Amino acid sequence: MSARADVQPFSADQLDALRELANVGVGRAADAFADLLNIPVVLTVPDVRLVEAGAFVRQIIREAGPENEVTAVRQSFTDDIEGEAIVVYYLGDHASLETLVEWVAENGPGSVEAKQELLLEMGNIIVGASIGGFAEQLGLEVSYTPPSIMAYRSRSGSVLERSALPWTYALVTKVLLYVQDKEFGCYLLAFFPEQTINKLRSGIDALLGTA
Amino acid sequence: MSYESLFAQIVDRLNVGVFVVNQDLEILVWNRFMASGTGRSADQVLGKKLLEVMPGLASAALIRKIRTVFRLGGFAFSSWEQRPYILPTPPRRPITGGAEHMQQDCTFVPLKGQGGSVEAVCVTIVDVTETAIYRRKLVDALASDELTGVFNRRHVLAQLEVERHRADRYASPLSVGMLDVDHFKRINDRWGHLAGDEALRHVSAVIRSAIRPTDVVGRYGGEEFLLVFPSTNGVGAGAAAERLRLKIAAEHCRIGQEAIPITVSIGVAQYRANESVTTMIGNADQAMYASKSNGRDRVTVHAASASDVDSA
Repeated sequence: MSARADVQPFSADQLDALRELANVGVGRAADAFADLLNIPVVLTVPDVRLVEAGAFVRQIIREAGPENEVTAVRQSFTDDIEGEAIVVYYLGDHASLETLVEWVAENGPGSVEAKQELLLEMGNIIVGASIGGFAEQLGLEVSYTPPSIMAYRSRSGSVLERSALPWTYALVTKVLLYVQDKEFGCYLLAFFPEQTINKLRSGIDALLGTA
Repeated sequence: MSYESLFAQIVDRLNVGVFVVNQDLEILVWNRFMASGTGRSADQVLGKKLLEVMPGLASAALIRKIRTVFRLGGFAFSSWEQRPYILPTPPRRPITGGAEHMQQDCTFVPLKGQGGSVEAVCVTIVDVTETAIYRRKLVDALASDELTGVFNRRHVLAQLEVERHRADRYASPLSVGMLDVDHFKRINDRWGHLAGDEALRHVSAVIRSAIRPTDVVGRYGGEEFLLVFPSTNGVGAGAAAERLRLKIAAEHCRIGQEAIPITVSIGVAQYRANESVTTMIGNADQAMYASKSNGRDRVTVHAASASDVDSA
C-alpha cells in the first residue's frame, strides 16, 4: 500500500470478496500441504483485513511475548500483481499453546535445514494459493521469486521489529490449519504498491458486478 | 532464423539447467547443462520418464515439488541453503576443498496450455556452488578466533545463550567453565609474543581434543577461554574440567627447541534457573580466581554448584 495513511484501499465488500477468493485458493492448497506433511490437512481463511502494518507487527510481537519465538518467511511476487508477502507462523489470538513451527520441530524431519525447507515450502504454498488465487480468479498474471527465511525461532521483537516494512498498509490473511486433532494458524501479510491495488480493486469490482 | 530456432538455441546453451516434464513426468526439454551434469544426452532422455532415466537420482523432494506445481499452478523452489542440490551433479569447476556436488538453486515453473491448465513444469537449476563456498568461509570466519581457530567471544556467547534457552525449555542442567592460562605474561616476557601466540594455539588444540562432542569452547579474552557444558551439572563439569586440566599439564608446548610446560586455572559454575549469562560467567570467573589464589593449576567448582544434587 502507498505511504499515504488516509487512503483506504479496499471497502468492506471488497475485503469480503478477497476473503472468499483467498478461501477458495487456500482451500485447494490442502492436498499439497497433506503431501508435504504426509497427513491430511484442512485449511481455511476466516479473515482478510487491512491493517496498518507497523502497528500490526508490534501487536504480534506483544502477544507473542519476549520469551516466545517467532518464525517468518518472506517472498516477493511480480507481473500484474506485484508486492511482497510475509508469512508469520504465529497467531496471537489463538488458543493452542503450540505453534506449527514447534509441531514441525517435534514431528518433522531431523535437521534444522530440513525443518526450514518445510516451513519455506508451506509458506510458498500459502502465498501462492492466496495471491495466486486472487490472480487466477481476477484474470491476472503473477510470478514468484524464491521464498527465504526472515526469522527462524527468533526471540520475538528481534527480526520483525527491526525490519523495514515495505509500505504503511498490509492486507492480512489469517490462515487456519487443522492437522491431526490440532489447530494451528499463521498470518499472511501482503504488501502491494498502488498500481497493484488498483488492479485488484478493478478486478474485484468486475467480479462483483459493481464495476 | 525463426523465433522457435532462436529460443531453442538459447535454452540449449543457457548457463542454467533447463528441463521440462509433462504430467506423466516424461521429459520434453533437456538442455546441454543437464546433459553434461547428468551424463545423459537429450537424445537419450527425450520422451522417457524422469524416474526411468535417473533411477535413484531423482529424489522424493524433486518429484513432490513438481507435483505441487501441477496441482496448484503456482511456483515451487529449492534453495541450496536448505537442500544443497535437487539432482546430484558434479561441480563444474574443480576447486580445492570445494563441494562434492554442485550446489543448486532451483525454480519450478508452471507452463500452461490453451485452456489455462498446467500442462508441463519447467525446472531450472542454477549453479550456486561458488556462493555456497564463500558463504561457508564467511560464516566460519565470523565465528572463529583467528589465532586459535576456536570460536570467538561473540560466537561462544551466542552458543551459551542458545544452550541457556534449551536448558530452560527442557529443564536440563547446564554448566560453564572459565579457563585461564597460568603465568601467561611470563611466557610472553621470557620467550616473546610469538611464543605466547603458540602457547594459546597449543592450549586451544588440547582443549578441542579433550572436550566432549557436545561441549563448546571459545576464546573469551586474551588468555581466557569460555567452556560450555550442555546437559551437565556442576559436579560433572568439574570432572570434565579436571580431565582437561590434567591433559594440558601433561602435554608440553613446543616453542622452538624447548618444550614448555603449561598449566591452567579453571572455574566451573552451574546454571541456576532464570540466571543471566552474565551472572553465570561471573560465578565461573569467581571460581577461576579462587583456583588462582589457591596456587593455580587446579579446578574450582563454584560453591552453590558443588552442593547440587544430580539432576542429570
